[in-house]
Amino acid sequence: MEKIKVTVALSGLNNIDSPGPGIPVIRGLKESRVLDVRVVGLAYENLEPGIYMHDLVDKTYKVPYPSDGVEPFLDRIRYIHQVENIQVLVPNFDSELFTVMKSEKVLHELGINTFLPTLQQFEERHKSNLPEYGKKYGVKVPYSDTVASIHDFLKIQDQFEYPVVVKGKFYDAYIAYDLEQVSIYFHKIAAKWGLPIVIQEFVRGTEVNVVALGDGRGNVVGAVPMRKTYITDKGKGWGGITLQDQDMMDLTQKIFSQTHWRGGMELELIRTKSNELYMIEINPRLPAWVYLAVAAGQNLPEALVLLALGKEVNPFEGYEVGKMFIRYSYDMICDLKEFEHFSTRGEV
Amino acid sequence: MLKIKNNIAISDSGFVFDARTGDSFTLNTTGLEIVQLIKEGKDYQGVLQVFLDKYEVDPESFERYYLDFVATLKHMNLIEGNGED
Repeated sequence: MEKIKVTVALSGLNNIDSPGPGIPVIRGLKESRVLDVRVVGLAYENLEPGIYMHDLVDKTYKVPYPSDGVEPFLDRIRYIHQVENIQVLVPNFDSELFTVMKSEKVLHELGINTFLPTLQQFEERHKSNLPEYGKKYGVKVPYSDTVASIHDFLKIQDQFEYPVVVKGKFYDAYIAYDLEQVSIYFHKIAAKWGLPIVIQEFVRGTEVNVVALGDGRGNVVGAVPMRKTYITDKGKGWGGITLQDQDMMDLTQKIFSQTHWRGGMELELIRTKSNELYMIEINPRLPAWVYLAVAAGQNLPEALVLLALGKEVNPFEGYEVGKMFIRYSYDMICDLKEFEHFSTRGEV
Repeated sequence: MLKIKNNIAISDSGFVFDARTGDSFTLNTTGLEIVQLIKEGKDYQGVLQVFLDKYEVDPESFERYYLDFVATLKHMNLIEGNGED
């Protein structure tokens, strides 16, 4: 069977110790049996490793930060599209999803397809909205509230018992054991990711995760549960293993069938000692460990691109349990000329 | 009777994998033999008899080691229910 030629633009090329999902998504796409993918990387920083990984990324363009607004982003995409004829755009950062979702209609008119959650789906699963989300969909979630200052926290601190989890709107989470630590982490996260800050009840247990893809009609196209077996000091999985857990699959099914989630998703869950599952976060995209799902038999990046192209995709029927990943670091040698080219011209 | 949970995979090398939690353990040859006998459906008396026939061990010592080992299996969540033998 002849493969479908497709040009996919995607971000998340920061394959560092706290990696973006770009490179794992690309690995899935490059291994596709039905797609012949030309990969156009979108990078924010000159030192994102993916820019220089030419066996995976065919061409990379520098793009403006989402915080610069929709128009600068669209202007850049228009230029890249003129050169590359992008057919599918896969944003891999939480922080850029809003910009891309807002631009979905314009992108579609340009001929660029996406497969993203709706704005409502995106907004209601925010960390700050998790208690309402849990109530609405009948999912156990830890108690949480948002604060814009330490003064705000002092007003609500009686509702929490220490330790608490201090979380940024998009990224970062720290466990704080007293008010002083809450204050330290509040300022640390606020300085990096802005306000508000989410204060969440700490649920004791084992963190488990599910990567899943929804077709937007209430069906789960694929889902693979995993437990991190090695966690870095930044809380990132450096190793993981696929699990056989019907409760996790049922919970995923329940969320997708009720929300009609469209696109990739990572569910972050805590399994308590009494085997209860608490949902602590929903990430609205494929996670950096998605290649484990590919290796376990579910090429979710491929399925996502096919859905974006409007193709029918049959749900995956299973996956290999006990499949492991172990991340490693590698010193890639790069040419100064390439770095110069990307730094000065914004493409390489 | 003790029953090993059905999501537990045990290889001939003594490697134990809990597919629900992702935990893995290693059994020595004696532990592996006991677990295999439990999996075959043998109760304590059945396991004891096999060991008395095969090895130079007195029933009192074996019982002590056996109970200790089974307590570890329970602690590791490898045994179904309350795991009464």
